[in-house]
Amino acid sequence: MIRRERNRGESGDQMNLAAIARRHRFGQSVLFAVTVCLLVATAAVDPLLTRSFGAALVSFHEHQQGVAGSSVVLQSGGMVPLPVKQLEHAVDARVRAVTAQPIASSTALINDLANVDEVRLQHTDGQCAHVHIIRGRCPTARNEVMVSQAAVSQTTRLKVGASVPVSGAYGYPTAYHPNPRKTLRIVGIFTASDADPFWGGASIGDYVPPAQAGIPGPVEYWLTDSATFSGPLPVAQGFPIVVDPATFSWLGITHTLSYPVNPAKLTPARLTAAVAGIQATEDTVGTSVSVTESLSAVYTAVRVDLHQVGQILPFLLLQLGLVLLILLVQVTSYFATVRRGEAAVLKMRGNGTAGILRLGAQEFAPAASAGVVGGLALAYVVDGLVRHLWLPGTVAAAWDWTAMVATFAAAALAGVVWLSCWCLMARESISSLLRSRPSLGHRAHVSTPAAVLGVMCVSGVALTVTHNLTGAPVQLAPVLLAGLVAIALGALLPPLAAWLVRRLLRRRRAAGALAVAQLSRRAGASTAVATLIITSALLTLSVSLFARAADNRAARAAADLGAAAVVNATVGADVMNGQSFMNAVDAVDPHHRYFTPAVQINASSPTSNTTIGVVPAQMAYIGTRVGLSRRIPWSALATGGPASRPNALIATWTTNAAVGSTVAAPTMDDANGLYHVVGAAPYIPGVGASTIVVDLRTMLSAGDRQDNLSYQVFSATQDPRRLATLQSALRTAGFASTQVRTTQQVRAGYAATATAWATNLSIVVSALSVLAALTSVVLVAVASRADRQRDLRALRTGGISQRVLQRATVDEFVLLALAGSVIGALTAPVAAWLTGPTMLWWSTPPAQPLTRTSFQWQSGAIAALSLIVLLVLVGTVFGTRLARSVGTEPQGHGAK
Amino acid sequence: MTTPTPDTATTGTGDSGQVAVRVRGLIKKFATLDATITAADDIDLDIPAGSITAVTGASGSGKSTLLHLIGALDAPDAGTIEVFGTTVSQLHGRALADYRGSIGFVFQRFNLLPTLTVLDNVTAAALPRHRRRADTKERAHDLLAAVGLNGREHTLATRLSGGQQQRVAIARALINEPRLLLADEPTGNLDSTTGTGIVELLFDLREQRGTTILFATHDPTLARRADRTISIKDGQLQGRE
Repeated sequence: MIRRERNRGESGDQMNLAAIARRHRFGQSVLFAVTVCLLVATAAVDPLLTRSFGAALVSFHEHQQGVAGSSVVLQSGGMVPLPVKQLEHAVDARVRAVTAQPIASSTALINDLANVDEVRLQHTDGQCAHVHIIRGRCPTARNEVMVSQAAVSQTTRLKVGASVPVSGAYGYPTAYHPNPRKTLRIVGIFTASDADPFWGGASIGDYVPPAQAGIPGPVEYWLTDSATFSGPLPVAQGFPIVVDPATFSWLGITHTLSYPVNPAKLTPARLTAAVAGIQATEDTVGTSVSVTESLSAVYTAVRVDLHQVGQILPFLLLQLGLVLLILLVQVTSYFATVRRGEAAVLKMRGNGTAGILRLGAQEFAPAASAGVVGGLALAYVVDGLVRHLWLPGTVAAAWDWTAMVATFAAAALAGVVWLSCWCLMARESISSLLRSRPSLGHRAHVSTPAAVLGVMCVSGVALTVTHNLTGAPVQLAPVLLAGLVAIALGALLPPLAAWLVRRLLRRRRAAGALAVAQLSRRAGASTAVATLIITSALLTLSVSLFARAADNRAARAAADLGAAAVVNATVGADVMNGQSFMNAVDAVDPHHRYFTPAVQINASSPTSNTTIGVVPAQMAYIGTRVGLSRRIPWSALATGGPASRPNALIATWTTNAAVGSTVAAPTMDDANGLYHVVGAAPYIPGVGASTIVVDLRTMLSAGDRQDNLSYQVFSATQDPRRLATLQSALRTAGFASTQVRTTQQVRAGYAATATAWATNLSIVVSALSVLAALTSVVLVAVASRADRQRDLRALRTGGISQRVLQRATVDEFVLLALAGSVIGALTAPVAAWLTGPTMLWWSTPPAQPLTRTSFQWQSGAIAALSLIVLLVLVGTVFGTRLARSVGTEPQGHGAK
Repeated sequence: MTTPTPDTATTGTGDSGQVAVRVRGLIKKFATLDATITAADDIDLDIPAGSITAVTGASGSGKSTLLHLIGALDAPDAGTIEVFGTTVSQLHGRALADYRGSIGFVFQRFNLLPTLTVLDNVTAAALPRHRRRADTKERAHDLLAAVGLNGREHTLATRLSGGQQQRVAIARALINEPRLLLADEPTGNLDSTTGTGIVELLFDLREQRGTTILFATHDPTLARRADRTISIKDGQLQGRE
């Protein structure tokens, strides 16, 4: 009973002690909570950002592909079309998961016998809500129709209440179907807007007189009820079944089922499932039903990115996690170290190892709990900020159970760290706890954990050098390399410091020697230097990667377009030839300051070449204006060459031919011809794969083909007014439509990728890791305060002036900051050389050899210098304040 | 305070010849990165009850190790230690904890619990634990008054000066009325004036309570004031004075 009372009393004492400790050491609890919070947030934010990145990718490409407003359309026609109900049953559930309710539509061509007009008889679910009924009502029964006001205005015969005899479209009867004769009754007259997307671009309300021959499609639309299309479809052998033509249905009906895509439902997982569902639907309905959709194009565009997001983000955040883990170890070790004396006293009171651990857990449990909860909340906040401030499109917030799992895993890891550090301390004997920690020796020394880490780092670096580590894991290589350097420096620190001290003393640099000596014996100094090395390397490398990736994207966009903008002109009904095209462009820009025309003869087969004719001098000029650095030998085309074998430039990335040889490519005289290669470049901006470049005038002089031609205008400007003027001129010249692509648009496409976003995020990650490193430096200062006081007093007793001692303290922190940042910055170019060739630069790498992987010296050097200056400044300020505070403390307080 | 006469120093007993501490064949070694250090090398030693004994030697000679072994803060590799008839080296678990609580220990770095007040630091070490809190507190007040800290009971321990903290540590060491007080460099972190005051306090305690005091020091001036002096070098006793 006494034992139970004693135990109860002891546990009560412990709780009291823990509560008192928390109150008086609130700062330590806060620091522990913040460190745990950051570690947990780093782990939890990974699944959140993965989801957000994926959703943003899908949203971006939805927008690019025009998915919003599009539908998954199943269309059944032919002799025996599948009815709508059967189509509906065939649609896979995974498709329905991303679409709204389907809209059914049936249509058939019929003849208005009175006018011999071709009429499109049509029913669409919900049609009446998308027309304006100006007389009568919407048809609700079989053979009731509504006609357009435009059609009514052509004849008095069409009016509400009139009965109109109709038949099947011209071509009836067939071997399978008699020509139906029906009487349709007009119950309403309507108008409709062409702009209403419901009608899919069809001019429902228009009437085109049959006199305008050659225009494809019906002259008018009659809207009817779905029952009008019901009835049997008799087949051949003398039509045995049907007697009354009015009862059977039409031939040539097309049933359409449209499932409007709901972008709000389109998550990466659902998109992937929907594409599989579309394939399953196609397999079910067979070749008699056509399936049209844009989801597959979105999936193709994002598939690689989605996969990369899942790989890149974890490794990127792992870098920050490692730095925070080192900080947590340092913080926890420090807390355990400062409690050694207490632990000795408590052990003397009868508390064993378990008692010490229990006390420590009671003291830090609230802080740990706050850190875990705060970390999860912080992860959601960061995710929210990224979604709202950075990612394109609108990505909704969502609860993610994986984030909870990551939170618990990080919390468990923090617990293991705490337990390990505390156990190391608590298991020591009382006698050992009472002793001061041994200072570092003078010989090089590597602890067992450091040796293990060193082996891991060496292995990682070796795998990277030999290109056995590729893709997303390569992101860890810079950390491993910097870690290796840091471990080596930590091991060599004592003898290095001793050598430096002797050298400085020989030069009578007392303050410097003292600073080096102090730094080398500070507990945690090697950890702080290691952290600074790693984080400085990461930040410098991240900035370089960011700049290099931006360069690469710009280069690729320039390679794709070859100019600031490219205007593609689509030929309409009018006949177009190259000369009139050139004239239209010249009229807008007679001095050729902004625009230059190009005509492309497209390849006749996937394996043959394409020919593009340009004005070489103008292309060279535009290239210079837009800053294209690639040297293209345009001048070689100055003379177009003989008509029988015109001169051509080739791009070696797809065309395997030497200068002086000949290549075959289409000509303007409807046949393939031979071209003489007069120049080559690795790639020619604006020119696609397997394309030879010739002088435009020389090309046009060879013939006057009209088929298989594409017309483009390369523009040195993106000025909307100038482009609008050009587009207007081209339409006037007879082109049906024009489309403009700018380098901004192309670059935006490359910027909205997992690799680009990850590069941007890496700067934020590495900046945060630098903050963690600075915390490590502060901890070294705090942990060494008592030792520093004792040392400074002893040195003052020995005759060293206060000025020298303060200078030494400042120099100690400046040296710490300088050593870490400089070594880290120097490691970055090596890391870039190591990882550049194998890291993920693109979602889909370009075929052109334009990706540069080397260290971006300008940006990297600026980042490195800025970081060095900043850290040295922080070190100076911090060291100065510390020197003053230690130097001005009254003597005798707690010590000699 | 009376200066011990040579005769008293030679015999060194304060309690009719009873031996407070008997050490036989004590061996303790520590393994470091570079070598194995023998901190106690076959030490034989008798400390008379009621005496004040100084253990001297250079830093690293084994002074603290000897006190730690006698105080059962560490276990010897070989040999026996008896304190007032109790074989310390055979104690385990709760008995060991009770033994540690029954002797007083004063450290160079005070080792007070920094988050507790002066009074709490003293009462926290009290044994037995089922004793009434009021009794413990009353005794603590008395001890603090005895060491000259009347009125500072509710001050946080870390806010006191070095000398005051060491006085608190002495009061803490005495809360359980120990027959043996072990002091490891009790003036090592104090200036000479304060250190002298602490030593005077220890001598007063011996006079008032008959406590056997064993303290380690590298200060020969302090050592000369003890009843006897034991010198240790490289873990071996060099001689007794």
